[in-house]
Amino acid sequence: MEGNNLGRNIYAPQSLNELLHMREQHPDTILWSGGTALMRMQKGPVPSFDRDIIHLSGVNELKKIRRTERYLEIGAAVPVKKIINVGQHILPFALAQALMSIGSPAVRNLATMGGNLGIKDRRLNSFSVLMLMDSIVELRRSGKSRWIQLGRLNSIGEAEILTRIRIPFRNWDLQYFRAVGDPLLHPMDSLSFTVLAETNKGIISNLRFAVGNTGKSTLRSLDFETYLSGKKLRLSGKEFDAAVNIFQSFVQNAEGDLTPFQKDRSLRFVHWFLRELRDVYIFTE
Amino acid sequence: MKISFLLNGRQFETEVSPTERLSDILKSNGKIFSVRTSCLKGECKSCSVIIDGEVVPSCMIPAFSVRGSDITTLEGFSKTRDYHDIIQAFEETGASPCDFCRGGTILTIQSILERFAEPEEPQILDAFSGNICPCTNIGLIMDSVKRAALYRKRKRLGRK
Repeated sequence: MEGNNLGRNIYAPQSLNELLHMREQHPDTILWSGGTALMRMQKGPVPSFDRDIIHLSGVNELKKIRRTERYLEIGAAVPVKKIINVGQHILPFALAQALMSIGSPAVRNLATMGGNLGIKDRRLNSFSVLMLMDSIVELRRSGKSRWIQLGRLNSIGEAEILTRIRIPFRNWDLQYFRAVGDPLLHPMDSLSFTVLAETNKGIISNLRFAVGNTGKSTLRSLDFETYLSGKKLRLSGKEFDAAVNIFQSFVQNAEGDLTPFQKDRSLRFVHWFLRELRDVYIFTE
Repeated sequence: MKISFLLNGRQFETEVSPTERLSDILKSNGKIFSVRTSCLKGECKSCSVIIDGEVVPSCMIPAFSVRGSDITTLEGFSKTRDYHDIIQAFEETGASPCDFCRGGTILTIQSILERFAEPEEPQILDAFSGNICPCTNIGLIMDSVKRAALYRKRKRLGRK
C-alpha cells in the first residue's frame, strides 16, 4: 500500500497474482492503468476519488503483446501508442484508425486499451471496431479465468479484471472508421462509425456495421448489413438510395441514448460511406 | 505521502498528496516554471514533460504513479546539445512559440526527432495534433522540425 488521499488507499501490486488477490479483497476499487479517462473526468483542479485505487503499473503480465498466426493478443495495460507501433501490416487498419482517434499523441503514450474498454457506462473509440472483429476478452479473478465476447462486457462480475484482448485476424477488404467528438466529455455529440466487410470478385460479403461512442450502447442495423451484403461494387444509384432509406428508418426508430444530433451525424456518415462505395471504390482483382 | 524521482537528472524527493497532479508538484515543490497548466485534460500540451523517454501531459499524471520515474522538463532538456539544434532551427525559420506553449512544442519536436531521422509532414502533423496554441504557424514549426533533423543528420555524419 502506497499512501492515502482523504482516507483513500492506493495499492501497487507487483504481479498479476498479487493484483487478483488484492481485487478479491477490495472489489470496490478503481483500477488505474494510464488513468487518462479518470483524470479527464475530474471536475476540479485537485483530483479526488471516492474509492481506493489499485495502480497497475507494476503488473508486467498486463503489458504484453502476443501475436500468433490466428490472432493478436494485447494486454489490458499496454499503452495505445505501443499498440499503434505494432505496425500497419499487423494491426487492422480500422483498429489503427480508432486508436489514433484517442486523445492527443501525448495522451496516447499513457492511455491503454483496457482503460478504453473498461470505463463503466461508456463505450469509447475502440469498442465498436473490436466488437465487429469478433474480439474476445479475458476476465480474471483469483483462481478463475474466462473468455467472453467483447459485446458481452457488461456482464463483468465484481472482483473480475479485464486482463487480455484477443483480436482474430481476418482479411477485411473494406475497413472504414470515422469518429467525431469526445465520447468522454461530450457523449451527447460524439459518434463513431465503423464498417468492415470482405469482398470476393467485387461482391461484398460479410458486411458489419456499427455506430458507436453513443454513451453505453453500440448500434448495429442488421437490415442495413443484410441489404449491402451480396451487392456488387460499385453500387448503383438505386442501391445507394435504398441503403440510405434502410438506414434512415433504422436510425429514426433506434432506441437507446442517441440524440437527434447524433442521428443526423450518423446519417451523414452513412451517406459518406455509401458515396465511397458508389463513386470512389474501384474493384481490382 | 513521500515520493522521489529523478528530476532533470537529479534525485528529487517531496511530500505530496498521492493524487496531486504532477504539473502542480513540479511548479510548487520543484520550482519548475516551464510547465504551464491550462486545460487539465491533456489537450493543450503546455504542461508536457518527458517521463521515461515519452512526452506526456503532466496534468494527467497523479503523484503516486511517478515514484522512481525519470522526469525531464524544458529546464533539464535546455542543457543538452539536442535543445540547441531545435533553437537554431527556430531562429532560422522564424518560428517563435510563446512562453505558454514553448515547453510542449520543444519537447514534442524532440520526441519526433527521436523517432524519425527524416520526419515527414504527416508524422509532424500527427505529433502536433494536440497542440492548440495559435501563436506560431504550423508551417514554420514543420520547417523547424525538418531543419533540426538536418542538423542532427549532419552531426551524425560529422559535418558542420
